[in-house]
Amino acid sequence: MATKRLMKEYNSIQKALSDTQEYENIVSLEPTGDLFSWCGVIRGPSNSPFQAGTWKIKIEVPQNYPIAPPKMKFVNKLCHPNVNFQTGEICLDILQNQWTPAWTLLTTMSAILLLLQDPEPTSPLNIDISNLLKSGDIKAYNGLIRFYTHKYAIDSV
Amino acid sequence: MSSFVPTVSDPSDFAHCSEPRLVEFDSLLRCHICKEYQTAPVLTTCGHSYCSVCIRKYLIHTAKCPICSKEIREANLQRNVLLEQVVICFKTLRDDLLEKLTVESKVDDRQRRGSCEVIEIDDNVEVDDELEIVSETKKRRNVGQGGLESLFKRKKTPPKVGPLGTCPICAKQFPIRVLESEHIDLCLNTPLLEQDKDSIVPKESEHSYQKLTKLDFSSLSNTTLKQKLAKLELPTNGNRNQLESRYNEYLILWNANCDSIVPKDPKVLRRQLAQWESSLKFRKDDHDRQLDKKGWSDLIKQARNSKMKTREEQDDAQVESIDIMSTNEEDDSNLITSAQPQNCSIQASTQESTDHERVFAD
Repeated sequence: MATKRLMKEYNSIQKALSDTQEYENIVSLEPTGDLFSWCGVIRGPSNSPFQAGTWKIKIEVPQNYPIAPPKMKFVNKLCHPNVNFQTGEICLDILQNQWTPAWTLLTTMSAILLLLQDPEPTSPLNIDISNLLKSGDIKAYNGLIRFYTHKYAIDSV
Repeated sequence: MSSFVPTVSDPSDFAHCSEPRLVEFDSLLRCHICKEYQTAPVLTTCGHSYCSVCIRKYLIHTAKCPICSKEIREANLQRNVLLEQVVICFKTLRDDLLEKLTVESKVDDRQRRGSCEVIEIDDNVEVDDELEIVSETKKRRNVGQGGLESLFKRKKTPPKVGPLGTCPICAKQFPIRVLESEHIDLCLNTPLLEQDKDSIVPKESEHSYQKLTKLDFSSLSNTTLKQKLAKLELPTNGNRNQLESRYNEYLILWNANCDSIVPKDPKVLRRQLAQWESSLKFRKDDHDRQLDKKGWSDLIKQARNSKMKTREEQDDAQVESIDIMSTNEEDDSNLITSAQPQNCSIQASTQESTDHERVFAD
């Protein structure tokens, strides 16, 4: 079941990325080697402190996909309340217990993009940046993110 | 991999035809789990539809609807007959539809230049499809009038310019220019069979397949479980775990098949089960083989080392050195030959397993 579905997804992803504007911040999403390991590249949304940065996301698809969710991790460093700065691990409910087979790799990538703009400071993986957000110091929050974006995510891919 | 891709159908196939709104219709008929057209669709209590196999497999993992996350139970799934008929109908029409709608747009342009006005009907094709299910006479008349194109295009006004000619095949009138350049070819290529067929939608067949029940494995002995499997004409080899998961997988396939209006023969299900089992084995084999490569070189190293040790021991025993050399050479070649048959026996065993699967499939 998994291979067939991944083939379908591959087919529709290529069309969706080239045809529609909806996924303009997803630069690429392709399998590397076999269909069970993918690599995606996202661009920081233009109205956010992540602007101009590009991040690589490593995707591992389990054998019983889509019953089980894919594993996604940031490869280059991202400063975000819900992303582990060292490991790139993402805290997103749909990558864990809220996953359903109705999600696809592409929609999951857009969910990650939405998470960039809409962080959830109550379940942080990066305590420092989430404390800045919680305390309401938006100027410092944006500044720190911009600093790390320029340090790790410009011309990174 | 790219060679596989064109064989995969996708809603976006319709994106570049003359009716791109079919993309949405196409995607509505697909299962959210496997992204294929729904086979034996079942309705959940929350009103969503999935392939029977897909949702049954998912519910073992999580007892929630994949779309709305409401709690649902396998026992409450209801077959969705109309949806299955619509899907089968659309699947049959799909290729023709795609071809005609892509060809049509080219023909359209030329016909427009020949001042033959063609308008598109606003009704969605889905409405037409449903109409077809209800009234077959309408469909036959339409097909008779010139294939599927008449479902989507109707002439608003008769062509004004150019002398008219009658098509020898479908007996309709066209401007001679259109007739000669496009129409006759198109008309000849429309399979006549389609016109003779009664209906593309299968009627609900009455079948005697009874749903299987889940087994309480803890209260079953190995022999009774094997008897149960044998009764279903399934193989009874393998350990307890394999037996149980084989029964469970077949239970899903069988019960899902019961939901279909055109159930498959149990033979087909047994073949699917065999495929499923071999895919598990393949995955395991793959893993084993990787280990094997490393494992073999390690084994050979170990063997060489132990040989060296025995050689030293033999040296200690002060056997004549020349003899030792020769025996050692012999031993080494023995080692190599003994290693090769073992390697072969592994290949033989995988061969055996594929043979077994073939038997299994039969």
